[in-house]
Amino acid sequence: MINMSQHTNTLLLGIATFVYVGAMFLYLFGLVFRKKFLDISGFVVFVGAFLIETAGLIARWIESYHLEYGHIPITNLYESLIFLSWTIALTYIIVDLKYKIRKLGFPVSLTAFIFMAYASFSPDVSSRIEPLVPALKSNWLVFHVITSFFGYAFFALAFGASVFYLISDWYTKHTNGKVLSYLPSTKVLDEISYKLIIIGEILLAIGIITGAAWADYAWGRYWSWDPKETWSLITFLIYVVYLHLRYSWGWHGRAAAIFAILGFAFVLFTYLGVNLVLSGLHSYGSA
Amino acid sequence: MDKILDRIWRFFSSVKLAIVLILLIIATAIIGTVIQQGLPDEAYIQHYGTATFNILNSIDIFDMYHSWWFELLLLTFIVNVLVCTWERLPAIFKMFSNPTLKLPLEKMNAFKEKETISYSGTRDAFIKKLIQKLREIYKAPIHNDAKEGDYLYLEKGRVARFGPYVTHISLIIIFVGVLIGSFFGFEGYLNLVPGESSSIVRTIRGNKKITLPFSIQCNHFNVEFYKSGIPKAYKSDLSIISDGNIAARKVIDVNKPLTYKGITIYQASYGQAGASSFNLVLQNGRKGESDVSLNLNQQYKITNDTSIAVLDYTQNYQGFGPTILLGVYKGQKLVNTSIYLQKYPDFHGAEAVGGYRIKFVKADESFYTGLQVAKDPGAPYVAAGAIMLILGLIMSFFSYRRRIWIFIPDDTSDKTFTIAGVADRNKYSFEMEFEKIIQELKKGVKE
Ligand code: HEM
Repeated sequence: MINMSQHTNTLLLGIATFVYVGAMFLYLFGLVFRKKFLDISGFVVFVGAFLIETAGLIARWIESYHLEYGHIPITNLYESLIFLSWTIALTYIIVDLKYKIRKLGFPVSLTAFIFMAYASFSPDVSSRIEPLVPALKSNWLVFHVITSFFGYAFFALAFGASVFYLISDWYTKHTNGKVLSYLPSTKVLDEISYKLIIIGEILLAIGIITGAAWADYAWGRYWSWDPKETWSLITFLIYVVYLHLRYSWGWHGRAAAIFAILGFAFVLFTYLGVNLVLSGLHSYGSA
Repeated sequence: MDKILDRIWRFFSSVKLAIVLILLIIATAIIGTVIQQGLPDEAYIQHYGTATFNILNSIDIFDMYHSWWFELLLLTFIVNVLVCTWERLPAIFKMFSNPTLKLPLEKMNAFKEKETISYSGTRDAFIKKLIQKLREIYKAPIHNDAKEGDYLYLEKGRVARFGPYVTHISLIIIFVGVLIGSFFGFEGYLNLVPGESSSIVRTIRGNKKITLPFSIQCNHFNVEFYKSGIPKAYKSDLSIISDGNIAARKVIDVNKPLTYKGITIYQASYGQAGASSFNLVLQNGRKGESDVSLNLNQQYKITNDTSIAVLDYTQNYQGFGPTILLGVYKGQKLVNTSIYLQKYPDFHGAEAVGGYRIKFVKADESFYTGLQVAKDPGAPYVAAGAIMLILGLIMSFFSYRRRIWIFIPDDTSDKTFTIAGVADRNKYSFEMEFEKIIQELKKGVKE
């Protein structure tokens, strides 16, 4: 049995951060040298990093019980950054097993690394396990966070697939019709990113609705136009526009890919921007 | 006149309008997150100056989600969904009850996914075999034989066509729920100290008085803290008093409200209602220490002719923390007052009152409970709509509709048949699926 000292979780999460870097370099070499074994080892190391991260999250959960707080580790900025990298990693593993799009490993491991490094090394982010204020003690909150974060993760992968689409499309244009052998064909990338957006949209919708249900149980008001809430709705609507453009006007290919890439900016803003940027604009008292 | 109505209808039934409206809603909703909503006017005036404030205020920018123009935008959007759905629904039902079973050959030839395959053996035996094979590898076809030849029709993922309609109708249900809530519901707050009861709440928007058909009594209120001082839980023990009787009683907690006759009472907040008692330590060289607990203004005898009382309390006296004002009495006459600081027990040094050195240890504070009292008869509709919305999305995307037509001409000199198919979405997945069917059929035909 591991000694559950205060720092077991941060230690494991720190190790995972560096293992993600390892995976990232293997994937990068895989892109440069086009050797299959590099991609495979990248994937193996990536799964290793993911398992260490999982252990770190579990350790953190257990430690929160030792501190008598006892809550799932998704409740402050540090935990949410770690959890987001975890959902993106898990989503990538699932998507790779289903759609065989291993080359996404490079941007995914880079993203996982950035989120974890930001959580661990930014002076603005505290890794302390904090107690929950009463309003956060709700099962709705757990559903809400998990579904929203997996929604973000699917949108992130759709973003990656769309970037790959543009790269592959550009390559074909500039080489008189040759195809990039190490990426799936543009047709496949187009459809994968569409399917990922669909799943992301369903998860985001569930996330918004469980969030509203939670607010209703806590305060008797399911919707109050607070910035985070409003931005989730905005993000949902952006992808509604994407779906209708695609379905009713037949947008696909490059136009859809560009839209998916721009749409992801809304996801990022909903997740981070609202807290980092808008809170600054809100301080009227000091202005 | 009919022409105008027709034009209005056409306008509201377009998906183009839907996209424009959604983009407008997005753009305006962003404004509301950048400019903080619902602050007191002074805060905006200080930030923008009076002139700008007056302009922005006249278009309700500071409460824009409740402004007439934002609500009009939402209303237009709902009318758009309604008209759009209404107009397309009959076609959807028709497609269900009456699908195109026989597709003319020239239409089939126009599809991207199509193939003409030759077969051997007799025509009738072949058709039997083909149907059998299709049933094994894909689905049982609907068979129609006509003068010019035999038609087979296969369809999968039909339910996906209904999904968008379930989603769109759910939006209308949600909207109806929101309307019901805003016309027949209210949201108010009520603060109670333990022992108090009231039947009057004040609305959060507009600060109007609402009299409830019962009164709410707070029997107890309790806050627990973590060691770090962050609140861990706060709970109110409430009774509902109706016509002089206790109609209900429940301990409510954040996330665990009490509902009575459609009105729900939430534990929303709490606040300091002042201190209820004060703990002091009296020190006398010979007699040792004794602890006393005093209520506000309660006189306590320390010697035959001297008594003390806590006359005032503040949580933070000029940055020195919790502080009491202590009065010293000779008989009934107040002869001296001085302050005692909880954080600085040695502030008075060796100074003694009636032979006792006095230390202020701590105040037991009492809290009021902050209750939110709300009625929302529209909420069940909103909840049902929300569930329907998710179901509609899952229906739309779990599957996708694809249709396959096969034509076997009557002319037996030409031993070929044509197969063509089309999918509403996921063209690539369908291409793969179609490819596989073709291969299976080619193999099957040779056997
Ligand atoms: C928040 C609002 C909306 C949501 C969540 C929504 C959702 C959807 C979904 C999921 C689809 C299926 C798309 C696909 O299969 O790829 C769809 C299709 C469609 N939507 Fe919407 N929609 C919304 C608003 C609107 C509005 C305002 C209109 C009005 C013009 C509209 C018109 C349509 C049409 C015509 C289709 C194609 C329907 C069909 O398959 O026959 N939608 N919508």
